[in-house]
Amino acid sequence: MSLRSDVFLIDYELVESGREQPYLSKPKFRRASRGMIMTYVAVESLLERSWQLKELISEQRLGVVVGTSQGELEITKNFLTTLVKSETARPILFQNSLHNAVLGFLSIEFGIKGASMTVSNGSYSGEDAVATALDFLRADWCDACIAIGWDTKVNSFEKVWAALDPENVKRGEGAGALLLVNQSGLNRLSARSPITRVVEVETGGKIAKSTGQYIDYYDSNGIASFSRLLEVTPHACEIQIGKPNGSSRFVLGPI
Amino acid sequence: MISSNLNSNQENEVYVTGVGVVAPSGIGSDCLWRRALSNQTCIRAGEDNQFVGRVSADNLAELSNRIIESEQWSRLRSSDLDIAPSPAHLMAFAAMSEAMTQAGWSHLGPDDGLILATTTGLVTGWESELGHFLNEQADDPKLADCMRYQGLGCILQHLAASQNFSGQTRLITTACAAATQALILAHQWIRSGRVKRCLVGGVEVLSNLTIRGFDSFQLLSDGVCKPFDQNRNGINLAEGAGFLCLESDASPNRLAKLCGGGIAADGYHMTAPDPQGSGCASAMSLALKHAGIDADMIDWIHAHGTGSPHNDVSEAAAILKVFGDRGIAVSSTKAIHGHMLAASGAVESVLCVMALVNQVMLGTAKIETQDPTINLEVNRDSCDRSMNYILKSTLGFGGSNGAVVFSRVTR
Repeated sequence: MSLRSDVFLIDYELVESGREQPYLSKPKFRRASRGMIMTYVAVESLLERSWQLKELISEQRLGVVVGTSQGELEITKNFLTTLVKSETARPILFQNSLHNAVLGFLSIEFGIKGASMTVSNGSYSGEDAVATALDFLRADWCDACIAIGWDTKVNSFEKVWAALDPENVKRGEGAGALLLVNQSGLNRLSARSPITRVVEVETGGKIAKSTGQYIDYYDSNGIASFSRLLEVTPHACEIQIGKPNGSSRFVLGPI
Repeated sequence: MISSNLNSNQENEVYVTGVGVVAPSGIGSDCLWRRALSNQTCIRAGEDNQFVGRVSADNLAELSNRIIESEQWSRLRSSDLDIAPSPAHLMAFAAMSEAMTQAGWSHLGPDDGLILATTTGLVTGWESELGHFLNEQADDPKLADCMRYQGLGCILQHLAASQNFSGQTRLITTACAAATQALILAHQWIRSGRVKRCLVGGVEVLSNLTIRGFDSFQLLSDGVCKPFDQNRNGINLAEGAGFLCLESDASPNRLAKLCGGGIAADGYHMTAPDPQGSGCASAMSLALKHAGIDADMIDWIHAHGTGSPHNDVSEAAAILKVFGDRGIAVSSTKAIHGHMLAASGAVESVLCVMALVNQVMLGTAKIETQDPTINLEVNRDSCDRSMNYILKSTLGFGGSNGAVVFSRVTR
């Protein structure tokens, strides 16, 4: 498939801080981080609504791309401080501190065995996840791909972040997930009408600062901002999202 | 950014035109190649008695002198980034420069791409300020300094800034499969016409976080690792950087062709590979499919072969599943240079390219008695061998897998 092969947005889900709380006490999530749980809730919601996705698309043809800026910062901090305080390296903290841990968790829980990747690029991590999912779908590495952006706050570091941020952006936490398909995937999910066609996502490098909207949300907020703006904009347009150090651009086309 | 003048219809072929390495073997891909040819290990016992592959202090000092004076570092300093070079910067800059020099690239342009793989980035900055984390002294400027560059994306931004580069970038953090996945994504970018050239690399530093973390899983070997040996008992962590220049043009500098790759997940366990090697086998099969070749055309497999009990069994199962019991030659070079985690796919792909150029099949150092449950033809010593196709595989925590196929080019 070529650079411009069609990719369609089928559905999206946003999980704001607090929605993970009911899951924390469940045995299944005993060893899971908050990041894992928030992304789990997002993917679970998508799959529940996406009519028979798992029956219509094989586990080898379902991909996932996870984008996060900070990764499991809180768990990394806990691993390091536990190490210093008690000279004990806790395996579960190390395992969950890895950037790729969320992807591994989702892959296990939802039986996703197709192309999968974790990416990171500061406040553009969510956009990079979507751009990578477009690459996957256009390369025909999968028929459907879930692009996820997530980050969690570490309250004890908020003063540090505030001191480092000249624009004083309010930081939050959460997860956002988009379900994207290529033409083959859309044919398989014939009962679902796509929301829009995603033509391109521009990320990386020096992008001119925009006057577009910026939603105070969380560091990998591209997916959240994009999804919320979808609710108030026509679905064939360009959505430009202002960021603390520039902007990103989603190019959408008619179906 | 997408450049509209690139051809999006033609499926371009992708060639490796430059390689660069900094590893425990020293500065430069030739240093590593010589070590690999002679099966000579670079693994040493560290201060904490852990056997690791460390880039020497002398080499880091040499790189520091070289890089601080460089134009690239000046560009970085003249941007709004104010940072002292870390070991990750030093290794990545040097490996990147070697690869670009060999390929004849003076700089990266708007039609180029840059893809990096790492799981540690600038983590050593964190570790030097552990006390501040411990006390959560938020007002301490040192804590702010190390937090500023905590995100893994920072090292990619610094590499891009050093090249004054504003084109397509991507940072991949998919554990030990990251650099292989970076090569596969770069292949797709070039094939589809998204970019004309792509600089792909991986960098990893030894840190207390990773050493103590892997030790907590009892995954570290008590000596030099022994991939595929019946007495293997773990891995040797290592640091280093590897870069490859990929381009579509019929450049006279072509070293090898990157034919294709495959990415797949186990969906099995957070830290252990599927014993049946399902995800690894899928990645290998997809790599063959995308390369457009049959399994029996592969002459040699450069395995992930970490020396951990689980990895080697899983990878062997995957190889048997895809290649059958025809006795395809398999080697692991981990006992030479150690396991550079996210960078391993890049550094070991450099070895694959050099193997094709020199028509030499590398050996597997330190293997004494092959594990009888691993039914592979493990190649022990380097030897001349006519080879057209090589497959490189990697497996990572989280059940992430990647495999790439390289082929010989007529020069």
